[in-house]
Order: sequence, then C-alpha cells, then structure tokens
Amino acid sequence: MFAETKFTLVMFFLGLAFLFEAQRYGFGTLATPEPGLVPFMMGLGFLALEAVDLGFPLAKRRQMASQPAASESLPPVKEIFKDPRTHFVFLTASGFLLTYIVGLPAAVGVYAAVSAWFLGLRSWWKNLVFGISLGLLIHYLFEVFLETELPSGWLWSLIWG
Amino acid sequence: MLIESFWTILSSPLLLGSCLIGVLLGTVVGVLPGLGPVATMALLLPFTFGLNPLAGIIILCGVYYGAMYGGSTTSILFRVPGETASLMTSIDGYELSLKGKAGLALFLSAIGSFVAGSLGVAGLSYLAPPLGRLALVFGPYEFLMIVLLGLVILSNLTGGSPIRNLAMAFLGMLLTTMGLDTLGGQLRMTFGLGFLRGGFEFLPVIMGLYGISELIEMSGRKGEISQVTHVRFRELYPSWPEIRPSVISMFRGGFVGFVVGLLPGPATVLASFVAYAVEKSVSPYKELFGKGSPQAVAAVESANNSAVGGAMVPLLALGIPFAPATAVLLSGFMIHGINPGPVMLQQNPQMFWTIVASMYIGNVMCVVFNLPLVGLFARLMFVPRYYLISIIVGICAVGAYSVRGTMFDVWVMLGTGVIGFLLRRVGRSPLPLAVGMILGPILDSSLRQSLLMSSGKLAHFLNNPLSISLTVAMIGGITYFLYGAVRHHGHLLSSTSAPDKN
Repeated sequence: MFAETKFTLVMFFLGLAFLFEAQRYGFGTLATPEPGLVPFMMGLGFLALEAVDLGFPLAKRRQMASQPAASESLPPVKEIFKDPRTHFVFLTASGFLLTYIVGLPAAVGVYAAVSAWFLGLRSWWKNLVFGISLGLLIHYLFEVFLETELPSGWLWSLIWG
Repeated sequence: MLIESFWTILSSPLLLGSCLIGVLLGTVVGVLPGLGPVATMALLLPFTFGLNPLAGIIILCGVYYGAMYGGSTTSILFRVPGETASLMTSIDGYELSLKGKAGLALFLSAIGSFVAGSLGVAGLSYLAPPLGRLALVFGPYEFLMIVLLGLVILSNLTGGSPIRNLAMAFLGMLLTTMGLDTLGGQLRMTFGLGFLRGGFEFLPVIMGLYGISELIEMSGRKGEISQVTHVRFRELYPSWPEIRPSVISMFRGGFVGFVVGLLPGPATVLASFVAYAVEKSVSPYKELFGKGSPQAVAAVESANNSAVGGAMVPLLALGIPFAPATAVLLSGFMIHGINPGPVMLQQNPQMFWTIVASMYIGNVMCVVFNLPLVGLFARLMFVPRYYLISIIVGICAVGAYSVRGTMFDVWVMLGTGVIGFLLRRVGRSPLPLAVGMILGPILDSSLRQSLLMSSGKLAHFLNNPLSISLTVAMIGGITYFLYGAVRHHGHLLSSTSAPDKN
C-alpha cells in the first residue's frame, strides 16, 4: 500500500475517534450550542476530507495497477529501525526520559554529549566538555539568570533531600 | 506618531538593543539551514518572559525579517537556502557566484531586501490603521467569515493537494478543542486522559513541526558543503551599470511580495515564487533566468522581505495571523498581555507605531550589518551539525518546558516533530496544521457567539454591506477551493505515468 494512503487511513480513523469523542459532550441546538457541537462539526469536516482524499489514491491505484511504484511504498519495519533518524528520535526520547531522574539541565548535558557522539563527534573528551558546558549553560541561563524553574529530577532530591 | 515612535526607540538603549539582537539573531537563523524563523521565534519566546513587552515583541519581529536577509547569503554562496523563502535565490544567486559575481548578487540581495522591506513596512503603516478602524465594526459573524475565507485560501495557496491542506487545518483546529472550553468553562475532547486536560499549547507544537522535524531529517544526512565561494569586501560594491537593470525588479518584487504577504499562507515563500514568475514574464533578460540573473535575485529577495510587512497587516489590524511566523508573534503578544487587533490600534496606538518604527530601524540595521559581515555570517554554515543539532534540541526542550512548566509539552514537541517529519514524507505540509491551531479557537468562539446572538439563524447577520461582502467573498473562496481541488486531483487522475508525489 502507498505510504500516503496508509497515512490518510490513519487520519481517517483519527477523525472517527474525534467524532465519537465529540458526541459525548452534547451538541445542544443551533440556538444554544453546547461544547461538543463545534468539535463535532470540525471532526465531520476532517473525516469527509480524509474520505475524499482516500478515494483518490485508491482510484489512481486501480488505474496504475499494472505499474506499481515501489518508491512510494513504505519501507519494511526492519529498515525503519535501521534508519539513523529513527535512532536519533529514540536517543532524544531517552534524553527526555532522563529528565525525570537527573533534571532537565543535567539531562540536556548528557543528551548533548551522547547525541554529538552519535552524530559524528568521536572524541570522548570533546563530548564530555561539550555536554558539561551545555548543561551548565542551560542551568545558569535559565535557572539562575532568567529564574525559570526547571524540573530537578528525583535523583537530586534523593541525594540532597 | 511614527516620528515620535522613532524617537522612543532611538532614545531607549533597551529597545534599540532589542532591535539589534533580533536582527542579528534573525540573520544567524537565516544563515543556518534547519532552523527557520518560526522555530527560532518560538524558541525565543521564553527568553522574552522577563523583558519589557515591547522589547520582547521587537526582538521577535527582528528575527522574522532578519531571517529573510540572512537566508540569501548561503543561498548565493553555497546554494544552500538558509530558510525556505530563499530557495529561489539559490538558483540564480549561486549561478552568479560561479561566474564570479557573488558580490553583485549579495549587494542586490541586501539592497533589494532593504528597499522592499521598507516598502513593506510603509505599506503596513498605511494599510493597518484604516483596516483596524474598519475591523472595529466587526462582530463574531464577520470574524467567522474571515477565518473561513482564510482557511480555504490557505488550502489552495499552500501547494500540493488543497483537500489534504484543508484536512490538516481541520486537524489543527480539532487539537485546539481539547482541554478547557473557554466559553462554557468545561473540559472536553480529553478522551478520558488526564494529561489532555490542559490541551495542546501552540508553541511546543510549532517547535516540533518546524524545528525538531527538520533536525530529524538533518540527523540522517551525511556530506558537507563541497564548494566555498569567498567574497572580498570590495567585490560587494558593483558598478552602477551592473545595478541599474535590477532597480525596477526590486520595486516590482517588493510590490508583488507585499500583496502576496497579505494573503493567508506561507507569505514569504509564496511571495518569492510569485515574484520570480512575474519577473521572468516581464523581464527583457528572460534568457538569463536560471543561469544567473541579477534581476531574479533582486526580485525574489525584495519580495520575501516586503511579504513580512504584508503578513503583519492582518495580525496587527485584525488580530488574526495567517502565517505560522505571525502566529508565533501573536503568542508573543498574548504572553505579554497584549491583544493585537483593532482594539490595540484604537487604545494603544503607540505600541503599533513603535513596532512599525522598529521595523524601519531594523531594516537599516540589516543592510548595515549584512554587507560588511557577510563573510562572518557565511562561516556559521560550517558549525558542525553534531553541535548544532544537540544545542538546538536541548534549548528547544527547555523552551517547550518553560511555556507551562510541564514535561507533557516536551513530549508533545518530540511527538509533533516526528509527525512533521512524516507529514513531509507523505507529501503533506505542516503549515495548515499550524495555522489551524491558531484559527481554531477564533472559529470556535465566533461560530458559537454568532449562533447564540442570532438564535441559530446566521442569515440574520446578512443585513449590512460588510457582512454581505464577506459572505460573498467566503462563498467565492469555497468555489476557488473546490476548483483548485478538482483541478489538482483531476490532473493526478488523468496522469497515470507517475505516482502522486505532491
């Protein structure tokens, strides 16, 4: 199946979900609209547009049945997991998860060091200096200078109470 | 009042410094591929929290138009557009560089940007106040019609499938219905999930769609820029016979850019494409287009700068942003407790005129800094991507967290980054989604208020020339949308030789 058709299908089901959720909040009447009315109308519009969009690739696919385009198909799941961009997303998500443990400035520092290594900076001391510098910069710029409260993480609370 | 505002800025080190910072940051952002003005403005918002509101807004505006200047440098020297609006510059600008005329291209780009940028700001200062006065008589029905008109025009002008564009705008609007209903004060569309009670904030979404998605793409890219063109300072000042044929192109591009900037959609990008097409059709040097035409560079760079002034008109006069960059600016206004639109123009004209004056001054700063510092800015291109990506992700995470003080927004940023990346892969633009998120709450409240006021009969509003004209325009817009959709998909269906790549 074409990647774009799969995506449209996902959007179509998302539209259905919005539609079902909207009807839980009541529509009221046109004279006294309730909170569910506008989301329902938007959901209906979204669903209708996705349905129309779904129809075109399917019709076109029928026309092109004799010449399927391999380049438009989604790559196999194995290939997606081998893609460096997928690794980068997982690496970033891991960095964000680390925030809950060591806090945002430290997590950004660790993330910066690891992601710089992943992206091609293969010198452990440069990675270390870069990570520590960025973490400190974030700490001083936001927490000290701009007085923004950033998440501190449970590890520091455990150590310093 | 404009003169007074000039004096206010020139006599205030804070405002003048803010203008300078905004312009420099904008230029740097324009130079660096992958970090566009929208993502940077979103990123800078938390930094402006503690600032004087006017200073914060001036910085954000400076980033917006400064990026238009910076984007041309790398387009001309390396054929790497720093931001999308400079894509067309990279064609002829780089060809000129290869012919040893990089100086001419950079000069025309800077002067064209200055001339047209000033024209755009002049257009803004003449058009916004009367439009704002007109908007004072707007009721919810008129705003509803304008939003609907904006949505259908945006869907056609964004490029690709109008149906998909409108669907993405609807998705953006649906996302804004999640959380607290501002009219009724009750929770809705949360799917029973506690973390959706606060709804989606615009800034983390825009950081993800525009910033993180581009970084994901960059993380998979290998290879460096192969060819470097060095420009000596004296080469930046070409002779008058070299410049003369492009002067009219600057004004033409400036005019086209301003008009296109008024329309909903990716104002600066669209302006550069339209200006290129217009210039190519009227220029006596058509044969040079694509092979190094100075007129093309002058027209395109003029257009994308004056489009900034055009795009600011609906924001400042009506309080409705039709482009992602102006939508971020609106967030900036709101954070500082300012509501742009007719009421601001009426009750706080000083604010409006100071912003306009800062844009005039900023344009002068751009041209003063861009010409002598072009070599320095060009070197920024060589900041290794491992530093660039890591720093941007780190600061984005802090920026997203700072909006509401919750990690949920950081995850939203990453999630929308992945979605933005996927959207591009399947040929959909993230722009309508972003604009939908801004127009959604306006549409929701104006529709419900209109229905309440008219007891469900919207036809009651058709009792004055203004509402009738807007309704007719909206119907015209829908017809235009349907025509565009049928034409686009009909064309795709009729061509069976290639798959739909949008």
